[in-house]
Amino acid sequence: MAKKRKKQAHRSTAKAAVTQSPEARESEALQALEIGQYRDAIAALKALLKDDAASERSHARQLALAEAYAGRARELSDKGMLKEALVLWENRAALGPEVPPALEHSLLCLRLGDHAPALRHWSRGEALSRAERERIGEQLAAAVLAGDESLLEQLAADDPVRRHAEPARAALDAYCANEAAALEAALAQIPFRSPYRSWALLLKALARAEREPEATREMLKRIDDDSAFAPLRRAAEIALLEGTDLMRALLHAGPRQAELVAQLRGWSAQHIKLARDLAAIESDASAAKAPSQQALQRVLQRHRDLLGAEWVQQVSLRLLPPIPEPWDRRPKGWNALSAPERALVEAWNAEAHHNTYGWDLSEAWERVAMTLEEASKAGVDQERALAIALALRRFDARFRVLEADQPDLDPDSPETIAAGQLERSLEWDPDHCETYLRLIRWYRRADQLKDARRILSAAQARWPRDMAVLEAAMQTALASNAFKKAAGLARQMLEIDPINNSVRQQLVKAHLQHAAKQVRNRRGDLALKEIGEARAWVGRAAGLESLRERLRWIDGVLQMIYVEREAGRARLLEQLEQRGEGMLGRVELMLAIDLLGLRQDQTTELLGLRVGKVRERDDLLAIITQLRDFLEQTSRFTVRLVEQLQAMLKGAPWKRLERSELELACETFGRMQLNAARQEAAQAALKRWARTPIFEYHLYAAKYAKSGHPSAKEIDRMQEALMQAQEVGDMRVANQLRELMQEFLPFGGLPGPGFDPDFDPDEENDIPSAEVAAALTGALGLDHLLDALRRKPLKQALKETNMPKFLRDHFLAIAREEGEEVVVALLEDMVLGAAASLDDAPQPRPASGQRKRTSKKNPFNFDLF
Amino acid sequence: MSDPFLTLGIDPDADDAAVEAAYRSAIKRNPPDREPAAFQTVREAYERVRTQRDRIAYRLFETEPPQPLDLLRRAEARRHTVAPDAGAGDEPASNRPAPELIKALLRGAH
Repeated sequence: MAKKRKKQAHRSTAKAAVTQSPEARESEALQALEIGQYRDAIAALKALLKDDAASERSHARQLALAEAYAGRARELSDKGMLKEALVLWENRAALGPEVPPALEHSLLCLRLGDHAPALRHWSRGEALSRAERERIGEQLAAAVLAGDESLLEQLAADDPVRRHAEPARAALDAYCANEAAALEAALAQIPFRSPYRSWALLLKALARAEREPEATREMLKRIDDDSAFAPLRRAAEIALLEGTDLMRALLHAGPRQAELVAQLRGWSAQHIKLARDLAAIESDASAAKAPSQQALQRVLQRHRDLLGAEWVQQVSLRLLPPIPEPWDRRPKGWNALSAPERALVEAWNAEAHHNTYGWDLSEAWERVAMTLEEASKAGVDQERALAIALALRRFDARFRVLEADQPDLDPDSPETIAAGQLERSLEWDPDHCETYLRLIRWYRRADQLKDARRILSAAQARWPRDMAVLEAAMQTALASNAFKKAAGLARQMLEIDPINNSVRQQLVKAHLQHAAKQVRNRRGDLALKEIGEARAWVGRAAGLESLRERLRWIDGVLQMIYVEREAGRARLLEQLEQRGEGMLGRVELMLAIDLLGLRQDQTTELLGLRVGKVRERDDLLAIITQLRDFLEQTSRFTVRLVEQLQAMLKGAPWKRLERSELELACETFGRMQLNAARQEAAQAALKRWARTPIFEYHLYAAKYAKSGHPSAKEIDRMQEALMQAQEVGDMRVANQLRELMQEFLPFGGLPGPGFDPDFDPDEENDIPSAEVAAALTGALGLDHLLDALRRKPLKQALKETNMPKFLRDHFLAIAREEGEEVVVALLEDMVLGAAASLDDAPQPRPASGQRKRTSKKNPFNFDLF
Repeated sequence: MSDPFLTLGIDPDADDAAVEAAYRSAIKRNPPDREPAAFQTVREAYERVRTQRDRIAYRLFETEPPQPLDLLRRAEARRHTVAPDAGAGDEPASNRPAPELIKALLRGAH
């Protein structure tokens, strides 16, 4: 390559000689010199001196050539090409006496064993500058340390290079022998002004390298780049690098430098070879922008002994190329793997490519467990047993299968399979409490209480005082209506953790449920007893004030109905009076009555109360807080309660609430199914903060909670709110709006995040539903739509369909890209397909061929759906 | 995420006590107030391999291919744990170089 470039340079120079003036050639040569292209500058200047020897510029050109020689010589020295560098220095010196001798030339001669030039410089003594003296002295010192004994003999007895040579060499021996005291003693004999100063610094730094790498780096920085000890410093610096920097530096380090790195780091030769191999991979990867897994695999196998055979085997599995489908070819070397390894890799691939048609994940992990079991011929050790258990738990752990909203008890359902696997995993690893708890929770939710109790008893035998197990037991007891048992368990939990308010709350809830049960059985006495026990549990515990108050209301109601009507009545009226003139007391009473399952009107009548309205801001806020508190305790409430609350909240002072208060109100009313109040609150909010996504959502969610269908304009507003929520990053509201719109839009509404418009899981069955046709045709009949599509411009036809604006825009966008014909054909297909599914609807006429159809595309291949 | 065993500098077959000891030593070197990022990495690594169950789960379920640097760190970790005659190839050298090597570098050898 060098030869080639040289030839090119000569050719260009020769060409220039023919076409350019000497001045222009000189200018180009000086430019090359300035930018560091020394080889070009040398070639050009040499040719110029030859071709234009008589020029008065010859002297200046000669000096420029000397400079170019020096620059190139320095380049070669830096690369370690010392002999080649020397040739260039000699060429420079041969230019004549006009070119002053270079110190670097003498120093290079010294490094190559020729002392004379350097000693000539050194003998000039005081004539040298301090920097020059230090530099030559250091080079002579380095040469002495490198083992050049003859040099010492040529120096005067009082020369510092000679005087300090002994302690400097002793320091080297002490350092290499790891003798700290001897090193310290030797270094103490080297004065600060000695030519060995950098050497002393270097050894001090190296001695600290193992324990204080950061301090060592700082010390090494104090050795100059042009110091005689700089090459050694650079090697030491590489040894102090870490990670990728170290690998990269090693790739470019020479063999001796790499050897020093290996010795300083305590590496073996194989270790350093590994580092170089890895650096080569990194270098290739950065060039190709993709790491070569095959190359890494090769390095792993090559350095198997160094890295540990087991580890190499384990990570090699992760480097196998992916197997997207079970029927695909297995990678090379597959048969060399053990059965568990093959099963494991297949399970990984099943996970990576899991989809409807993909690998069966539960089976894949089941196979891993099976092969692990079969591979243990001499019995399963603890580690293997844990591995089997973990493999059996993987399907549920990966997809949280047992957390589905509606438990599916079909024997082939993923949940049943996962539950079975979890149960079997306990045979291998019976000490995993979380698995018991997951199974208990799932069986309880699936109403399989017998199974829940079976797992629970196994868990209780292992962890009798574990809070999570006790809580699971209490929940199971409550689900079985075993209130006394639940209370007993709660007592146990409170013995362990007396300040656990959650337990107290759950227990009170259990007593309230039991009291309601007694009320239904017309056993007021027993209901009162339950409430008494609940009050005892609440006691004076902090943080349970609202619960205590609710129990007071309930107790009052029960007293009035079952014990002493007048006394109970007086007590409730007094309680109401204490609550002030607002409706808060009434709401609290209503909630208490509802919890007991009593009739609202009967109690209201007994108390002689009239229907009131919420008129004050504080009253409204207190009621919202009370409702939220109520929802914390129960998710069950009667329609009658909702009706009474609706009446009470009608015309409430929404305008006096702040934005956050209105948001809270809407959210609470949504949970309580107080749709009218929620709608009023949202409307009031939208008057003040128009087009706010959260209130748009509450408005339409409340307005169409039970019946009705939003108009196209309203759907447009929802769409706009959705976009706005997305723009500001409010993904919660965006998702709420998207889910809401799904109820109103055809094809299940808008796509969610990660939607793939090209994915069609069932191409043959994509017949649009009746709702599709209804949404598309809107107020017009199918015939009208088809007629409009066939006779009018697309834009006008779509407008007449009363289709939501964003849908119209979408179809028009497709028309712009694909042509109107495509959209018309697509809509005709959809309408005809949808009409075919309508039993009672009049069937539209098929296309009479007025428009020529272009290629038929997948009708569901939209951006939106 | 990097290999937690390599982050902690332990073998995959290390027991609970070895993991705990490696973690304590690592957080001493990387205290949260001075090296928050390194501390977080160590903490996460520890959480991933704290119990025997965690360690087996890592071996079974981790599919992230190793990076070149992981191999170097593995060799480094093994150097501290494996005896020279335990099949790790040739013997590791001492941490002090031979005087001849220093002299060669001073003579300009690369």
